[in-house]
Amino acid sequence: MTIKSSLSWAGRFAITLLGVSFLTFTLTSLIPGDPAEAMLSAMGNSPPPEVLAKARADLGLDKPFLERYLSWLSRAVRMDFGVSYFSKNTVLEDLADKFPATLKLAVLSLSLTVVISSITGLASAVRKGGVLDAVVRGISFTGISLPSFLVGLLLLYVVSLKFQLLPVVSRTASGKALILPVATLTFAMSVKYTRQVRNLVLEELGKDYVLGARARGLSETRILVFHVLPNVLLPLVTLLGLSFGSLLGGTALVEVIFSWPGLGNHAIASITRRDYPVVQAYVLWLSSVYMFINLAVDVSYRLLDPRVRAGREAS
Amino acid sequence: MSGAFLRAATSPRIRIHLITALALVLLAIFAERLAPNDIYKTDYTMILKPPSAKFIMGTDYMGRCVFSRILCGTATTLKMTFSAVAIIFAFGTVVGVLAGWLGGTTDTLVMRLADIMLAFPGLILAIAIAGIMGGGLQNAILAIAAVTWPRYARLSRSLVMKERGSVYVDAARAAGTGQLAILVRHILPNVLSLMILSAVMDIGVVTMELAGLSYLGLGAQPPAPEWGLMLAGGKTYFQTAPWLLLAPALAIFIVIVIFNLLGDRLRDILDPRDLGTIAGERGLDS
Repeated sequence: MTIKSSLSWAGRFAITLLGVSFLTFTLTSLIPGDPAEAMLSAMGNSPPPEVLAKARADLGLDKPFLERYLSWLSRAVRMDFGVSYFSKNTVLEDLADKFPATLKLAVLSLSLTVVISSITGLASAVRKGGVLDAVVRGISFTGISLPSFLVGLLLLYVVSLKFQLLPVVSRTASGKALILPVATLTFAMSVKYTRQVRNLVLEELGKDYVLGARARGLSETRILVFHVLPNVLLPLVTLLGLSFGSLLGGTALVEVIFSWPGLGNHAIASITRRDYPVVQAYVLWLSSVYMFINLAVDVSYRLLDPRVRAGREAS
Repeated sequence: MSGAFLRAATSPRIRIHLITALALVLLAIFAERLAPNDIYKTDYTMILKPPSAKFIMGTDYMGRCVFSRILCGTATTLKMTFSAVAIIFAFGTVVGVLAGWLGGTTDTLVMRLADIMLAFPGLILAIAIAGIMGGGLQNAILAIAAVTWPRYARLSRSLVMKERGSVYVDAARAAGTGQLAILVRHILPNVLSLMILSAVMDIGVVTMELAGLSYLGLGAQPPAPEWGLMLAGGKTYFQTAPWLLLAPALAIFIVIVIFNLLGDRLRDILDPRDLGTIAGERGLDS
């Protein structure tokens, strides 16, 4: 990357984060009810007004909107996102604590998805119109019409409740507890990626270079694995990048269903108890991840695709 | 609307899907009259009863008729989904067409904003917005609309820009057609058919997202008959009363299948290349 394009990316990065944080801040201050009230009433009885006023002052909620935003911003640029109203830990500590569980889920389910959907997609494209293709397409259409939280609930019911093979709830983020969330996410993503792979392979199979390879007498397997597959994986990089980005934010619904101690679950909990410092930091984290993933996708395109490399240098 | 779109929408290959979708809408309209039992009436002597002649899908944890609630849930779901899709379609398309047509500062501002919104995984941002605004049907619809309109704005903008540079627009301009007439009579019909297609294809996704929000308690509020909400409420009793899981699950699935089939078929008939990107982008995050 040239210095100029790096700078322009950094500029866009800063503007996006600024916009995102301002939007969240506006939203959080627009709605009725405030964190001081939520915090105090969470302890049981409704708080007396003077206690409420003191809590508001302690949290800095009595200051005007712009002043609060600017003071938050000046601390945020130094990576200080404040303290969670509830856990009393710093927000960063809490998020860092939840991140490994989410990362584990993301990496495992995305890797499995890539493996499974390349195989099913490729197989169904090669046998286009056959029985295998019909089965794969049927499953993938069914899967696309099933929301992931429904897949999760059904798995939970069949595996944990009906046959009692796995525990329903687990507080740890490893071993057996991984199986169901990973299976849910892998299924939900594989059905979509299978479709993509199938379409991409079919498109490639119609191209001249495949004809050329066949004319040169290369075996079909060789053509598929060494010629078609690399060309198919390239456009998938973008989609995989986006999926990885959203997985790193924690897939809220699946995490909630399986009580997975990850970022998504933490975010939902913080949203419902109006723990704004956490919500703010979480939203910033999400958008940063997205910007970085998009950058990574761009760069990987340049590395993987000679055409893009040549095109960029020529222009 | 362009002729190709009308021909596609009325072609015999899609008739069966249109009829199914229409039947679903009729079911939703008459759900309340068709429901065999009162959907709000709780009966503590009839808690968690398995399916029987009077309650063909059993009763829930408050003794309410599951079948009637599922039936009326169709109305809740379709109302929510259609309003969300309509808002997204109208707002996104108008903004995108304006940006593409006017260009300049408007274009830059709108697309920057769209970029910011698209920098999030959709559902999570929707959860954040719904959570911050507080649960409720309207807020859930607004939250989904807020995170989905940028895709429509982007698509309609790129379509307008593409059409603007095409030969037939040049020809119309050379023939002395006014700017507004070119936009309304020549460009819009071509843009609209693809926008409608993408709206139809999104109905299933939006249904999913709204049910998800309701499941988290951020959409419909109790005691409304809504499938996501029914799942969340019944979760504790799945082991002893599996109908509390299976009935809403099946209902959600059927509705999504009906609209996905309709969308897929419409796309197959129209076969638009521009849509490849949307089909790839939509709903890949869980």
